[in-house]
Amino acid sequence: MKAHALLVAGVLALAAGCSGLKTYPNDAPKNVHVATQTERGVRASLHVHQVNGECTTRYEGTLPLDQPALDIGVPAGQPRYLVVSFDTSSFMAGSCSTSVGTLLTPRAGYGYELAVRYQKDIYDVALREIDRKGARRELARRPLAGC
Amino acid sequence: MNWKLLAPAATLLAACAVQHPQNAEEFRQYVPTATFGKVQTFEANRPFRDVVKSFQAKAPECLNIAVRTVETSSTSNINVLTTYKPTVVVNEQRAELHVQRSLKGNVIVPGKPPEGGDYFVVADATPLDRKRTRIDIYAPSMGATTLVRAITGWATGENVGCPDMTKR
Repeated sequence: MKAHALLVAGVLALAAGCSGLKTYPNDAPKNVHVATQTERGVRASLHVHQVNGECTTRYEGTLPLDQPALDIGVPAGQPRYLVVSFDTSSFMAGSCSTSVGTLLTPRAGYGYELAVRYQKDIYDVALREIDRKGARRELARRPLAGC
Repeated sequence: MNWKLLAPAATLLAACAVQHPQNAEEFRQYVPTATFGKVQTFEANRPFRDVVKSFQAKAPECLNIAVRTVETSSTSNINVLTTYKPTVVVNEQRAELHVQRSLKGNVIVPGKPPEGGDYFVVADATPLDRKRTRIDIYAPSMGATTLVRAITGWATGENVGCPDMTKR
């Protein structure tokens, strides 16, 4: 619960101070395919954080999920905390940000699929691992507290 | 967030605050009598055990969450942290999803809320036969629309996403 609260607060802080965002370098071999479906007026983003042995994080950067497909590289064998945020804005409701995060330590030789969807105020973020034979396995969401 | 959007929910909350149903059963009795309360009932074409699995999976995944609402203007300064607490109780006759919420910040909640926060939404799933399940959702008529839609999706299996709790 606290982790979620901190996460929400953290992402809100990030969203509030847009100058603090930087572009994720995305220079590792591409092993995560991100498929995004959002409706008009929703801005989805992926924030990548390094995770060290003490479960502390270091922000690496952000990529806008403004295209239906995006391939990103997350170094194999190194834990990362991936946070997907959904930002909405309207005259009546003002600005809102919702986020969901999960730990991922990519395995060498495996591919990953991150399915991101936001429609009618309902969101879904699913992470699957794909082995060499193409078999998919759903990965449960892992909070930072369980790293 | 525009404070006017919070007015109906705040009204219900204020009404709840006077009575503070202390458990799910008191909340079930309270909602039909409340001005802004609503009971929705429908049949899901899914076996009871599947509905239970959905509740058990999605409630902790989606509703262990806190939402901070901030509004600063020349006339107001709102900063409220709303923390949600989901609980799923299952027995052979019924599965219950309780959603409680507590508010912290510059907000006044008179009275003593139950541990875990005031009851916000309660959803009951009752087996009708091997393939169908009856769902009863007790909720505010305004302010919980997104959450009720999400719970409906979990029950029917048609949409297993999480509600954006910044939306009402």
